[in-house]
Order: sequence, then C-alpha cells, then structure tokens
Amino acid sequence: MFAFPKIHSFPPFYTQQQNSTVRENQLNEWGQLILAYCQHHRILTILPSGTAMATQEEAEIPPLFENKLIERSAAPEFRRSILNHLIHKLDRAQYVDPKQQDAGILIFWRTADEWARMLYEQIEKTGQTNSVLTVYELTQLDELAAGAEFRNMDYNMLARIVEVLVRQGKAQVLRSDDGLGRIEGVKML
Amino acid sequence: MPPLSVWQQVLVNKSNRPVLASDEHNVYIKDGIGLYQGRLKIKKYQNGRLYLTNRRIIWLDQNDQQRPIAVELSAIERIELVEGFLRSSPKIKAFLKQNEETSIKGEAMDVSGSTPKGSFDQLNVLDAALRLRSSTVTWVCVICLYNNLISTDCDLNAALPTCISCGIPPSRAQIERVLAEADELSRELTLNGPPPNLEACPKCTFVNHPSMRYCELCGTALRLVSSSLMKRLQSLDNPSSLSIISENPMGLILEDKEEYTNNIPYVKFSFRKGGELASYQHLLEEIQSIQWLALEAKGAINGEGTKIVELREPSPQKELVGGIRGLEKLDQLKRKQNEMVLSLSLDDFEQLMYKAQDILNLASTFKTVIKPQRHSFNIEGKTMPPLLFNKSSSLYHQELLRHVSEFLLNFELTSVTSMITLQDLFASYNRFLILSQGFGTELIPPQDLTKSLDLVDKLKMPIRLKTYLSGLVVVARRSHDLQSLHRVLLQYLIDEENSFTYEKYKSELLADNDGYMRDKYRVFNGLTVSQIADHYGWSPAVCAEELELCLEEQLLVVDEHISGTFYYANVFDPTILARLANEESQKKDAQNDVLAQQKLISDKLKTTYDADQNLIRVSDYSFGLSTSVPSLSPPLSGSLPDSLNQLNGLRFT
Repeated sequence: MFAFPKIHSFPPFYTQQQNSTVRENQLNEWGQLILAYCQHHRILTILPSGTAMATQEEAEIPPLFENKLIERSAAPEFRRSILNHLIHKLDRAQYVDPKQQDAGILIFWRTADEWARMLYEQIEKTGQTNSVLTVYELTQLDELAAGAEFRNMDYNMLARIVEVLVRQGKAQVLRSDDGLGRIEGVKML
Repeated sequence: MPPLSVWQQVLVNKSNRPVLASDEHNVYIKDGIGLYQGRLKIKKYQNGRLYLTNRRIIWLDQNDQQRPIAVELSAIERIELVEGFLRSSPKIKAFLKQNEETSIKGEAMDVSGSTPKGSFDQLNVLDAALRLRSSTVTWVCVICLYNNLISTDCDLNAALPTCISCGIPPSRAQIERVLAEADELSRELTLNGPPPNLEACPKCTFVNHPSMRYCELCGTALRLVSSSLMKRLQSLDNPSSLSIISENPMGLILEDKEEYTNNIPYVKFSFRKGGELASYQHLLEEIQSIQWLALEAKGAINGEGTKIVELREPSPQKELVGGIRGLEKLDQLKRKQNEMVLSLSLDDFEQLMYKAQDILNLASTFKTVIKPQRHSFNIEGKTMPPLLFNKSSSLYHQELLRHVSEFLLNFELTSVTSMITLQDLFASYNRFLILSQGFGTELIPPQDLTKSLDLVDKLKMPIRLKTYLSGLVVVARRSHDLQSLHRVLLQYLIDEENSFTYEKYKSELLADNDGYMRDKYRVFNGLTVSQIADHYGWSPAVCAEELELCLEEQLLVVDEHISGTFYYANVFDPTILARLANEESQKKDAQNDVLAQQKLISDKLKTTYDADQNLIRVSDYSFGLSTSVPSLSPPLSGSLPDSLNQLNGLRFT
C-alpha cells in the first residue's frame, strides 16, 4: 500500500493557491506525489481525472486526487493544471495523443532515457541483439525477453522507449503496414 | 327664537385672533372651514379659520373681509359628524337648543320689563349684566379710603367683610347705610320708572352722552343707558327693521330661505381641508364638560359622582350594500378607521415628545443602575474629559480627531494588533459618548468623523487609516507595521498547529471510547476567518482583508472547501515548514506529559487507597518510583504499555 506523504492530508493541498509562487511550490509537490504514486503502483498511464489507465500490477489502487479521510479532493480544473504542470514544466509526462487528451497521459516516473538504457542493457545481457523481438515477446511472454520491469508494459510507453533507442541508433523497428504504423518488432543493434 | 341669532359678535385683536374671556382658552384651531345655517350655506362665510375654545366656536374670515362670528357652546344641544361624500366635504352638525333659548329670552323680557315687542336681544343681555353688576354696592374704607365692593344680598349677621386694601373691617353701621342707599336707589328705579334726567350718573349726577355705558367722571355704570339708547334706536328705526336685526344680529345672508331637515335648527361646519374627526372629538369633549358643569350647577350630581365616558367606536355598522356603492362604502369605512388609528397613534407620539425632557431626565437617573453591555468601556479606570468645543469653530475637527484618537488608544486599540473599521469606530465612539455623558449628548455625525479622520496624517496622530483593496477603511495604531502584523499572524497559525499536533498525540495515549478524539484530531483543520478575527478582536471584514494580504505575501495558504474557507501556514515554503515543530519531538513531549500525568494520578490513587485500607505507606517504599522512572527514559515506545499496564491493577482505564 502506497504511503501517501503527509502533505496528502493537508487540506490546502487540494485548493489551487492564488499566489503564483505558492502555487508553483504546490504544483511541484503534486508532481512529486504523482511520480511516487505511479512508481509505487507501477502505473504508466493515467487518465486526466487521475484514474490509473494501465498498470503493470493488478491490485487495488487508492485514488490519487482525493483524500476520503479529510474529505478533500482536487477540483477537475485543478487536476488539469497539475497534470499540465507535470507535462510542460517538469517534463515527466506526455499525452498519449496531444490532440486527444482524454486518451491518457504517460507518466515517466522513470524517464524515457532511463527506460531505454535498461531495455538495451537487458537485451545485450541476454545476447538478443540483432534478432527481431516482437512487442508480445518483450511485454507479455512468460519468459520475458526484456526482463520483469517490462511486464505488461503499455504499448504506447514501449513505443516511446523504442523511439529513444532508434534515435540513438541502437535499434531498428518493423512497422505494420496497415496504415497505423504500429511497431511490430524491434531489432537491437 | 330665530336660529340665526345664535351667531354672536366676536372681538378680535390686532393680530386677528379672537379676544377670549378670562377663563376661556383655545382648544383646537383649524382652517378651511365653511359655515352653513341649516341646509344652506351662509354667504361669504365659506373660507375661514375655526377657533374652538372651551366656551365658543369662533369663526374668522381667512381674508378678514367678514366680521368674525361665534356660537356659544352652551347653545348647542348635541353634535353629529357628517362624512364627506364625493364632492361634499365632511361636516359637523351642531343642533341648537330650542327650549332653553326661548326660556332665556323670556327671562330677559321679564328683567327688562319696559322693553317693547321685538326685543333687542343683545341689549337685553347687556341689561341683565348691568343689573347683575348693580347688585353690588361700594363702601369706602374709613382708614384708606379704598372703594370696596359688597353684594347687596350679603349677610350682615355673618362676619363683616374686610377692606381689600388695608384689611380693616368697616363698622356695621356703615355697611347698613350703604346697603340701604342702594336699596332705595333700585326701588326708585323699578317703581317710579326712569328718573327725569336719564343721562345723569346715579352717583355723581354728571350728565353723560347717551352712548356711554360708564360715567366719564366716576366710572360708575350707567344703568339706564340701555333703555335710553333703545328709545333713540326706536325713534330711528321702524319696528320691522328691528325685528330683522333681532332675528339676524350679524346680518348673515343665506343662499335661500332658511330650511332645516326635520325642522330642528342646526348649524353646520364644513371642513374643506379635513380635520373634522379631531375637531369633532374636541368639540364633543367641550360640550360634554359644559353639560356636566351645568348638571353640577343644578345640583344634579352629588360629590362623588363621576362621569361615565361612553366609548363609542365611530362605525362598524355592517351595512351590506352591493355593487360599486358597497365597495365605496367599505373603502370609506376602512379609510376612516385608518385615519382614526393614525391620529390616535400620533396623539401618543405628541405626548411622548411633550414628555421627552422628563424621559431623558428619568433615563439619566437610571444611568448608574444600567450595566454597560458588550463594550464595557471601563470609564472608572480611564477618565477622558468630554469634548466641549464649539462646532462652528475651524478647529473643531482637529479637536474631535484628538478626542477620537484618545478614545481609541484608551478603549479600542489596546493591543498592537488592534484594528477597528470606520463603521465600528463610529458606533462605538458614539456609544461611548452616551455612556460617559448621558443620553442628552450630541452625537457625532459620520461626516464630521470622516472629515476629522482625514486630518490624521497632518496632525501626526498616533493612529492611522488603512484602506484595503476592497475599499474597506480601518483605523489602527501608527506603530503597528503591516509586515510584522502578518508575521504575528503566521506565528499564531504555527502555534495553533503545533499545539494541535501535541494534543493529537496526547489524545492518542488517552482512553478514547467512542472515537470522538480520533476524529477530532485526525488532521489539523486550519483556522477560519472568524476564529482568527475573534482571537485578535478584529471585525471579520478586517480579518479577511489581512488574510488576503498574507496570502499575497506567501505566508499562508488557503483551503477552500464546501464546509468553509480555512487558513494554514504555508508549508510549501520550506522555511515556514521548518518552523512547525518536529512531529517526533512533539510526539515525545506528548508522551512524556501523559506519562507524568498518569503517574501522578496513580500515585495519588495509591496513597489514598493505602490510607483508606490502613496499609503500609507508599512513601516508605519507593517501588513506584523505581519501576516507573526508567520508563520515562528514551526507549519510550517499549516502556509505555508497561507503565500503563501497571495502572491496570488499579482498574484505571
């Protein structure tokens, strides 16, 4: 069970503060809380409402933006500005599809670069370079090619990670030809 | 007797007010009055003032073109109120006495005796009066030569009258002589008819002009003037004109021939400008009191008789009439009742104003008894001389400001954080004025207050005005600095939160059966505007403004919730967070305190128990100390339950 920090039961935490400096601090606090929360529950994508969309674990997750104990919850407006802060200021989250914000937000409690390095090291360690690995093999197979960290990983997240490797020149991708351009397979170099 | 003769002449003084008799006084005055005789208007008597005295109803022309006329109240049998309808004004109908009029006339005829037919009423009355006068005779005091009066029918066997001037009684013989002379004189007159020289004064024999009523030389009333004058008048006028004059002494002209409903003579007063109700009531009262006096004079009332006042509500006669007329009637009825209520209530108000000074005096006698309520301006402790200053002086506002400032420093701005809004200052300063100087005090209007407060900076007063963004103006001490004020506020919030955490941990260690403490101390709930305002004695408006500024300065944060708005120290700021007491140390403090407290209780219980049971004194053995003292040392978490368990033996939970 995720132990919420003390600030989570601080009532003013749920009210958007008027003073810009105070608000900045408040939003930073929220950002830290979200990252810690997502890391603990291994959540990679959340909805703008704060509900976890894709998690690597199947477990009961306490709500993020509310505290039943003190009867406080952040207003939808405020939730949006918290997430915006996380995306644009802290650079630790991304819209799955910026044009369709309700589709979910990727939370990078580990940055994409870190994920990419982990994936590459794992593949290298297991000697699977230069062989094509499917997305299924990377995330769903009983004996994972990429290691336990990647189990049940959201496709969108995996795509971002792989893109980082591609940009670094460490991987090549095979895309589907159905027009959507989804990644079918990855070959580490 | 012709009813028109009821109108009498009235003397008027230079300012056009009626000259009243010595025991006569005005009761009510109303203008816009028209006169009616019977059913018809009296021509040219349609716009005048009505003076109701305790003896007459006097009518004066508004433009003084007509001679004023009057009706004696004693000539009125009863009165009746006639409501106005459409274009007809409300009226008072006064029914005239018929029988008494004629009887009076008869008497007058008897007295004058020689007066011919078509008697001259006025002169008759005059004659009667003269006769009445003549029934007193004068006697000259032998000591001071003062002319004293004595009535002819005075009883000589009783004590003799004394001289009014010197107080010496005359000799009986002198009085007898005077009376005999008078008797002789009157007998001469009545028996032998008028003496040959009619104009001669009966006393000094000076021949006066026939129009004189009193002797020009000695001032004695000329008794035969009336008859002589009458003779002259008779010779001048023919009898027919005389009869007209007697029927209509004032020469009143009606629109048409006299006419009365039911043939009962009456006059009407038409109230063109309203006020008929009040007049009616006054008139009714006066007539009743005159009738009462008449009854008394007749001896019809014994000494202890009282008048039964008939309370007659002027109306609710339910008359169900349909249609517009019915509605109109209802409306009229309602209006009348309203008017009644209003006039009655205003009567009371006039009474109150009349008694105002008495009430003020009364109130100030209670001043010592009344407890000053909310603001107990402790006047005994601090005395402030009242501001005695001419309001018109140019220095008035400066002086007022000084006085207000003194008042503020003494009573309102007693601490550094004190503030007061202008409105509150206005109220409390005036309250103070009343409290310290009594109810008659002149209060300070807001204009003067603001005007003098504008001078605050110019005069370098120890107070200053502060205007918030919302336009709220408060008065505060000059010394109090905005920044430090906010620091104080912040410190207060921090202290509150610290003490809360302390209490929270303390409550965790104590018994809590119903979970109330747990719920109460779950989380620090911040402070509302009103709590902070109460703590500092500010008004909520001021407090809200200050908190707003604190938010701007990043000292506080706000929690806006459906249950209210709560303020907290800004823990997003690490420096402020650091000022909150460490939770662990708080926890420890709480535990230590609770332990010490419990030990004290258990010790006490032990000693009382031992004393009750006559057991060994606890103090002889130090087991309580040796076991519980180590538990206070640092590894608290482990030792705590033990030390509490020890209390179980005493059934202490």
